[in-house]
Amino acid sequence: MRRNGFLAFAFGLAAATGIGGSLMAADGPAPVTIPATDTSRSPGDKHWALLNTYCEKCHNATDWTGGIAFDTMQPDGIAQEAKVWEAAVSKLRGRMMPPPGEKQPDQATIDSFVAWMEGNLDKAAAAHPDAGYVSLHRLNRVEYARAVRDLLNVEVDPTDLLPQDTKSDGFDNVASVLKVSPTFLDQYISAARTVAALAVGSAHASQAIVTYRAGPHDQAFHVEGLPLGTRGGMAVVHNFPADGTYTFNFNVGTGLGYIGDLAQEHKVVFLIDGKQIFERTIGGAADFKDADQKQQEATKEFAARFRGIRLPVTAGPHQLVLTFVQRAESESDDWLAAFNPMGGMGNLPRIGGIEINGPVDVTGLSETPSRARIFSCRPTDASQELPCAKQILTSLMRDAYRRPVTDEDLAAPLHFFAVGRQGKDFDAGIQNAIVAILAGPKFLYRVETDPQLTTAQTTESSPATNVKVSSAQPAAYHLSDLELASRLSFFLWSQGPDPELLGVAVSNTLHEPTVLAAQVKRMLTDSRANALITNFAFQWLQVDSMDKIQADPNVFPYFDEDLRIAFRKEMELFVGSVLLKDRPVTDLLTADWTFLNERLALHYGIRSVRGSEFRRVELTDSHRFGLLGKGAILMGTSYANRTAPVLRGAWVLEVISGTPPHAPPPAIPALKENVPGAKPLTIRERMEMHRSQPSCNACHGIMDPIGMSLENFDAMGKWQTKDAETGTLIDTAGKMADGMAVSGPDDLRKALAARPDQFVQTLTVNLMTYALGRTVEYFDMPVVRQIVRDADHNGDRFAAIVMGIVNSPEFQTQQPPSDGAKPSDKT
Amino acid sequence: MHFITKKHLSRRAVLRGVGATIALPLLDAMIPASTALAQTAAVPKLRMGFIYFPHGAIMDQWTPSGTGTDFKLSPILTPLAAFQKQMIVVSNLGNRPAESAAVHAIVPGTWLSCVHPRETQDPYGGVTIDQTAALKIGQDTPLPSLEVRTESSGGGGSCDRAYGCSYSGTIAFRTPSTPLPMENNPRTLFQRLFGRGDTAEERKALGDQYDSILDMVQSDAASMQRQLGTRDRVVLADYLESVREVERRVQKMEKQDLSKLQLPQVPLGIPDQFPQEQMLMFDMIALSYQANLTRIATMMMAAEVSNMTYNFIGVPDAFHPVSHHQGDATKIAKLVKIQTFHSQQVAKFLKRLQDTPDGDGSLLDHSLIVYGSNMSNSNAHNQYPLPTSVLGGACGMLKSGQHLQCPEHTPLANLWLTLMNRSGIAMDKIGDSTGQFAEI
Repeated sequence: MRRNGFLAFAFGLAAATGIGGSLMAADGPAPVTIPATDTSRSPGDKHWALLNTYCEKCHNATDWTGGIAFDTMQPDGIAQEAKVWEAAVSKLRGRMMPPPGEKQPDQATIDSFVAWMEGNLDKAAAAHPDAGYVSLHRLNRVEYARAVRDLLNVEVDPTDLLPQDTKSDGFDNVASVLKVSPTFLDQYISAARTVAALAVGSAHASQAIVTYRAGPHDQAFHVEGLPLGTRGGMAVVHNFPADGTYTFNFNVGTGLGYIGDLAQEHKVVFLIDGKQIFERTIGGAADFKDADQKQQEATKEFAARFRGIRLPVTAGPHQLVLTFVQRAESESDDWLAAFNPMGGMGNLPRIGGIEINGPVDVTGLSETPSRARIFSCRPTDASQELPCAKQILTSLMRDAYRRPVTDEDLAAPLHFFAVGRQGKDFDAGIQNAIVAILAGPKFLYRVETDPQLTTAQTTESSPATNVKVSSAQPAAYHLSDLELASRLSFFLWSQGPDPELLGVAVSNTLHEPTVLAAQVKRMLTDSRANALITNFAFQWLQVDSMDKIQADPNVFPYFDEDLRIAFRKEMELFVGSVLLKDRPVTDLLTADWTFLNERLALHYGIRSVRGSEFRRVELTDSHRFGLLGKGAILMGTSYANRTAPVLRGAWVLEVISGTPPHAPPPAIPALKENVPGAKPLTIRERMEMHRSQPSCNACHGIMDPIGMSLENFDAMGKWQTKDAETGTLIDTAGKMADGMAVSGPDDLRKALAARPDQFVQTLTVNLMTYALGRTVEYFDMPVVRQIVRDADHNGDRFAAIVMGIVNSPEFQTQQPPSDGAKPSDKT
Repeated sequence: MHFITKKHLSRRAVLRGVGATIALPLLDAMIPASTALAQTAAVPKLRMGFIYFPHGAIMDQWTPSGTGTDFKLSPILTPLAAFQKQMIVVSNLGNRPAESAAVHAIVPGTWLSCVHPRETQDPYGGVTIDQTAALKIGQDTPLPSLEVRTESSGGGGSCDRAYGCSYSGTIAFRTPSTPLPMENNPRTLFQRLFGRGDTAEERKALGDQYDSILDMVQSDAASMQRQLGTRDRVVLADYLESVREVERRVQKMEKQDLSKLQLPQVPLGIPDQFPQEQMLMFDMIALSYQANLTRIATMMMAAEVSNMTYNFIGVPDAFHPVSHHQGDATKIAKLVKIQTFHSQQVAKFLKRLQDTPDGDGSLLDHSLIVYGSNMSNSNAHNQYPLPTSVLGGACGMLKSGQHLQCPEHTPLANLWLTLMNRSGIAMDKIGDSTGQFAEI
């Protein structure tokens, strides 16, 4: 029954591919014409002639450049050599081939060839569909943290708790590389204990010290998220294990061992959950005199003022804020010190950190959000304990295992409950059982059962799918509704299904197209879909690259960590305002709005934004439109002391056009740095020296003009008109691979926006990689193209692309690889 | 329930139950068949330690006067006078591969490798000698090696735009591309060594819980296996192999008789007094040696580019700024104070090793402790001449009690090569080494 459904789906896709394609081309912005031709054309065909004219000079049976000889290939072999042809199409679409300097076909010829070839490839795929196979999937650390947040109402920082996951294809959720090691296993067990202890709390919690350090942000001004009227400082949410007394020690200073600006009085305040409960001053005439005359003794006394503060706190998460009361800026000139070239921390005292030591004198255990979530019942006598434990654990395990729970599942956690209960209390038993649930493989692995292995009894309540195992070629099979629910929620939320989605899956209606569509719609508007921004989009756009840049303070004295923090926030809000508001995804390239606070607005030369909070701003300066004008991207594609047009060019080719250049060959010398004494050269001049060899020009001839067109943005994304080292005007002129002249970010943006299909396809390939957790292979490309065409009909909305992926056989089925045959993902 | 009846569990329970209070004789059944009894006791085992301090030394206050066995300790080394007979000070060593324009960023990570790293953000340097030793002589203990430091990170300059941040936070590289993170939280370290939990009872309970988790995980994974296709079974088989490896480690750990150890209170966290923080880390190393939890330890006494203030010895200045002394006599005097203080701390550590019996001698007799830095003059950031000393009895394998003045610019790698070969770890070359010392 289910199997037939799948075949019908595959057939439907084939029909759409073959027939719908030519209809769609009329209203699409780019030609995607699929002529109704068959593959029985002769080599004399006009399309094939393109290969002969432009490609076979290198790719021939004598030279075998790149291991490819088009003169050995035939039109009727396209289906068999789909992998080569998909690569060829990609190179042509991105104008990566023929290399710069070689004879170039015009764009119409290329479009026509690409359309013809893709039509053939799509038809071949429709005849022999292959949905690929995703390996057994382990939760990565981001998914783990998000899962326990929903499961137990516990916030944990995955980077603190768990080892880093390996990336593949730019993403950290690719199943085949998510390996385990003994250390890894140990850390996951340790994490399970930490999380369980935080969730349940303990009236027997032992004393421990936890230290929070202030981030690297500037503390000269108001910090976003802190109360208005304060300067600098930090805010953290700490999960207190029990009601009791805690000793707080505050680090107040400059971080350099001495305290600056003691001539002025600074008032330090400490707030718990918004309520001020501590206030002391530092500085002022008396302190200034002491610091000068007593030196070390005075320093000791200053430190002691902020130590040993004993306070009763109840169990559970509480927000702690430690900050300074804002003074009038006219009182001293310390703010000017923020402009000193060594990082701009200035001379003002900073908050260094908060240390929490406790609890002592434990008085009990108040209700916390975690305990409310866990303890759905409370036994009042011994006979109620087991039934109540069963109730609590069954509910937790259903969410943790993402499926209904069987008696067999329950056995182990109940055993842990009994052991933990022994000699202690009910809560301790539950805590022990939670450790077992979180540490076990049923939580850590997303199991997708092959229904053809029916020898093992299925423990799930999903319908038994009876498929006969007949031939040596393993048959494709549909995921069960429960498995589909997990794929869907990990795709959209980076965590397991919520009760509603799980309920729909249990009732076996999720595979019904309308039900599925309704769930996708619901999930995309849920706040948890934010994972698509911070997890998917940030990895796709390589936002984290900027974190590796330690700006050279001698070149960029204005840079501080606040700017980096603002870059990231802007990206989150901007990308979210396109994808999650279901705008056309091409708005990412062209949007004339962004989100700024004062610090970032000034960096962009916008003077109308005041304060530390972010708000939507309509842009008038077109240079800042879209992704190309965003600081996060511009900084992430630079070096610490200068711009890197090559990196910017490569970023555009990879992230926007989906045609990444080859990695550079080994032993390439770095760009020559200007040396004192010699006449300095502009970046352009240095790059031209660098790529003087023709072999370099094959890639650099394409990358460098793209990067040069962004050269008016310095390495930190600030607008510049003169080369920083030569003082001469920057020349951004260049030619794109298709011969189009570009100069400056506006031209580049327009050139990229003129090929929306290329951008939408790149986004789709990345989104599909992330959705499936596997490499998107050549045999997936026909489906990708279909999704792009369908999205085009829907105004290139993000939700349409998501829906296309969710409805694809790639997402809903598994094609087990035959032994030793072509692997559908990297191992 | 099948997951609690595994044979090894009951054995562990027995061991745990009494091991915490009484010194148990090793039962025959607990010695692996392949292990010769001689190896598990009697023959003294060499312990190695590599103690690094940042920002070099004021060399005329470090270098002893006189050479050979008749030498007089310098001010900085005077706190170690009690150990002069088990001390080799080697002068005129240099580490050319550690030289770079990156000032601090590659100094720690090249100390024990003598290999110049590649100019990439991703780490690619050289294997350090502690890790070579761990591979050769560290495999019998639960932890092949132990990496500790104080301070979580230093100030600006510990990262570099050409070399990244990988070489400033650790002195241990297992492979050229695998820097080993160094633990700076004594509480975390203690729990890794002696089990999580604050009391012996809690540690036992958590130990038992760990065993049960491993059993449950195995049984769950085995039942999951049955539902999976061939390809996924391979994935889960890897997982199961890791579970079994953890079990093996746990079993090794349980073979260590910790009953004679005087375990201190579990540290609450990082002490706020720096001297205590340093000593706590030294104590952990000593305890690990004593309990045979590891034989190889590395330690950074302070972070590279440390801004620690040494108020407790009358130096309120931050360490790194004062290390740029510019020839100023006051600043130099302060630096000497800091450096002398570090020697005092090391002396306390050595005393502790000396007071701990080990076989027919003391732990110190069976230890080879390198104490030095990979910078010479902190004002010039140079790598010649390096302050370098070798402490401890080293199982009698070294000619101790001497000040060896070697030819100028002798590679530091020559000393490493000598020490490794004397310790029974045969090597032909380390970094830029050109030979070994006959004198040691």
